[in-house]
Amino acid sequence: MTSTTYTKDYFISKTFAAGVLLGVATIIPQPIDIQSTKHETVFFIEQSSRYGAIDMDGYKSTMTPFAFAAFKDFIGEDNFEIHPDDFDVFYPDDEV
Amino acid sequence: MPVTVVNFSPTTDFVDTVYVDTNLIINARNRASTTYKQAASLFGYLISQGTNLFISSLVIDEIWWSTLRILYRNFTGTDLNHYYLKRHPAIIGRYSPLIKKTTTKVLRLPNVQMVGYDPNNVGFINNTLDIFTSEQLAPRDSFHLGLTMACNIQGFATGDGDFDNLTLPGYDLTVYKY
Repeated sequence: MTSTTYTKDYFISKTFAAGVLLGVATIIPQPIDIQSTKHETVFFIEQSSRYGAIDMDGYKSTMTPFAFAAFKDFIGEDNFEIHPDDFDVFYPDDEV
Repeated sequence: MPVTVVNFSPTTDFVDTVYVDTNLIINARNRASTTYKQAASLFGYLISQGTNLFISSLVIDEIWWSTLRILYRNFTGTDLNHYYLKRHPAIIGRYSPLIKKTTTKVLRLPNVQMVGYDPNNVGFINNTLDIFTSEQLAPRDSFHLGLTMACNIQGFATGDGDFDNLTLPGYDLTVYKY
């Protein structure tokens, strides 16, 4: 049976070596893969469509910061289908 | 011509006061709506121009009911009608957080004010009755228009085609369509 004793100096030396390796490593930029999972793809599409079709830069330049924040927070927050009869009025007493 | 119908475009100049119909609010909130872009853009231009926006308890009532129907359909796959709701009132509790959130955000919109009327104001009721009978609108739409006129609001923003052919003799109104 063998045993290994890890000393404080051992951890310091390994940490230093890892730091050196990270420092000299060549970092190659990678494109962000937004298709990596179905969930992420849906997320990005939804975020894009919330503001993507709207001229947000134009509104930002013509509204006060408060108004723009409220507008941005308001539009497109929900993502539900709307049917024309959703606006039919509810008359609570028309059940006879 | 007292009533002018304007199809909204980025070059539209709005009058100073505009009553906001429920469909504009709901469609601007929902990006899956087929008219989301138009409704949100119209809202954006109204706010950008500093237009005073008016809603009423009728609008809030319709927001609650339409939101309830929309949420129920999207989460259960079936349509909600008021007969079913009356037998299953717990449905309201299930969706109340989302309805409260929508209501809060509507009331926080810039330049939004509530308008109302005195329920004992016989003159208001008679004027709305005139609108109902002469313009042949639905009762609720007549009240939306009656409030608009009673508060001397000069614009009406809606996607509802029922407001396309108003006459309203003696009253200047611009109907903004999206």
